[in-house]
Amino acid sequence: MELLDRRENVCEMHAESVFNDSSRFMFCIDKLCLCYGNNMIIENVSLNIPKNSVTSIIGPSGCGKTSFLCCLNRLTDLNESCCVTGEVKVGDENVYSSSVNLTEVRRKIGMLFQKPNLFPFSIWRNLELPLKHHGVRDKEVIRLKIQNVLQNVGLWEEVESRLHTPALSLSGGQQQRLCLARTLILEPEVILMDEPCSALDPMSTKKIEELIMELKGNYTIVIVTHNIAQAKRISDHVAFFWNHEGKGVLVEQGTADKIFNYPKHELTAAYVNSGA
Amino acid sequence: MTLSKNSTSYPSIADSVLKWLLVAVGGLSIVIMMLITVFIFTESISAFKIIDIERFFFDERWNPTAGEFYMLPMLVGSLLLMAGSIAIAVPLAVLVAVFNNFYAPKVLSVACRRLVEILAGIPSVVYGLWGLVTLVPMIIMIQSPGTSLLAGIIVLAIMIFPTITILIDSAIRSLPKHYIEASVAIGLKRWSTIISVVLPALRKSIFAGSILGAARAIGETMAVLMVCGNVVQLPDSVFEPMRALTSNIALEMAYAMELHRSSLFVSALLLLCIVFVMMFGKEMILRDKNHV
Repeated sequence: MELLDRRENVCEMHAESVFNDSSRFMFCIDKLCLCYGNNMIIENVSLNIPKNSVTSIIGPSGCGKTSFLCCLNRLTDLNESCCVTGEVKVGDENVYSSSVNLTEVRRKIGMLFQKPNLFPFSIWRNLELPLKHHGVRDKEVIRLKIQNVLQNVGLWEEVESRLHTPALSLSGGQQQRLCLARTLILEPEVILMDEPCSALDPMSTKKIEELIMELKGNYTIVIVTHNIAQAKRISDHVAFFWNHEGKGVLVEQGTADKIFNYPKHELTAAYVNSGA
Repeated sequence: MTLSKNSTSYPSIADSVLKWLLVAVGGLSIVIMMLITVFIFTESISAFKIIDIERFFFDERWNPTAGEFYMLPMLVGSLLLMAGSIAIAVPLAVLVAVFNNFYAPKVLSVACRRLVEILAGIPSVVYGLWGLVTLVPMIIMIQSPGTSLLAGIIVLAIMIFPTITILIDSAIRSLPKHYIEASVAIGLKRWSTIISVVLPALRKSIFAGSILGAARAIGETMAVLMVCGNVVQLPDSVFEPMRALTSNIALEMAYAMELHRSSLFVSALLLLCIVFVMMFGKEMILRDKNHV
């Protein structure tokens, strides 16, 4: 208990130092709480996520990391019993405001899931579908965008000759890269990633990590990961969550260097060193 | 997870008993099916020996006792009934299944599912009776005689709609949730998700449901016999009476002798062939993994 009480101080200190310059941040999250029915899953999380960098969300299973990620693009709306309070600001816009254009929010905030979740259509159709729904009709523009995005994720040469074959016939790693391409084709500002490598082999994981490093200059990436070594390799910033009496709480946040080398909280130190 | 034949390292008596029981049951169903087919085929052969096949399509009339075997109107009638009922029932079933899964409050969707299940269990003679006393008089108000191709199509559509709805509804419920998540995450709204992701992802299930519905429609006898008028003719419009292959067998089997009887078995053989072609086609299309 005492250990957890200290997290307030650690997070407040950080929040004070960074709130002064809100233009640096893609997300300003304030007092976020998430409930499923009567069960509180995330309690009172305040966190600022810097632009054009990789922020890793780490913590043990069941501490609300994925639920937190789903709050950022309102994927929580899929669950009718889900209730979110607090504020998630992207720029000046509160994602939970009633006037928000959700289609535009989700275009701006792309998401990559734990397992590849391509539609059971062709590779081409998987990439064409989001474009068409966001108003891109010109066939030549669609063709160019598809080619560019496949080149960006390093898939073009592998699938160039079979764009009209089923996307689900690709390997797991290729499918995950195609999912990333499907996200990137809408030119988002943010990419949320929920353990994107957990179902992949080491080689495919390496490719995804390389892509994350390439993308972080142009996109804000928020990644949930259980793999501390991976978080060390790719993160600029880290937020450490913990399960406190069944609720997910944010224990500590900061730069990757601070969290991994000079953690202020004992729980953070214990957790990051457990993966060393 | 699948259990392979060799997944257990030691033989179990219960496993062997179950295996042979399943082999016996499976084998028996195949044998019964084969026997029925062979029986219908052999019974038809005597007709084929005497009557040229083209006479079934080019004779002047259907009057087997007078040696005329014009079966084409009944074949066309059966196919029209099937196509018409499918054209009405499938879109209706898709709409109801989509409503149940994406729009209806839980209480309403449960009530709707139970209702559809009850509809699926109502005997066809009841649908036929309803058609005769309610639907046919309504059609008479538009055009006489009321008993018509249209009456048959509507009654059949109502009959096969619950079966198709149940199949599509269960296919939607078993659709992986991650398709919906992925669709919402790229900004698609509910209606766009249904039109662009859910229904295309379920096209094979919808197709399979339609074929099963079509097979029931073409095989239906009693309801069709009660509302279609049973005049052997190629209908010029949906308001004209017609006779289906199934009705033909039911109407004439009681007094059919020799060649007439054999020609009725030819009707049955035609029905069997149509169902076989539909099922074979369905398997071929569903098996095509490259079809995207």
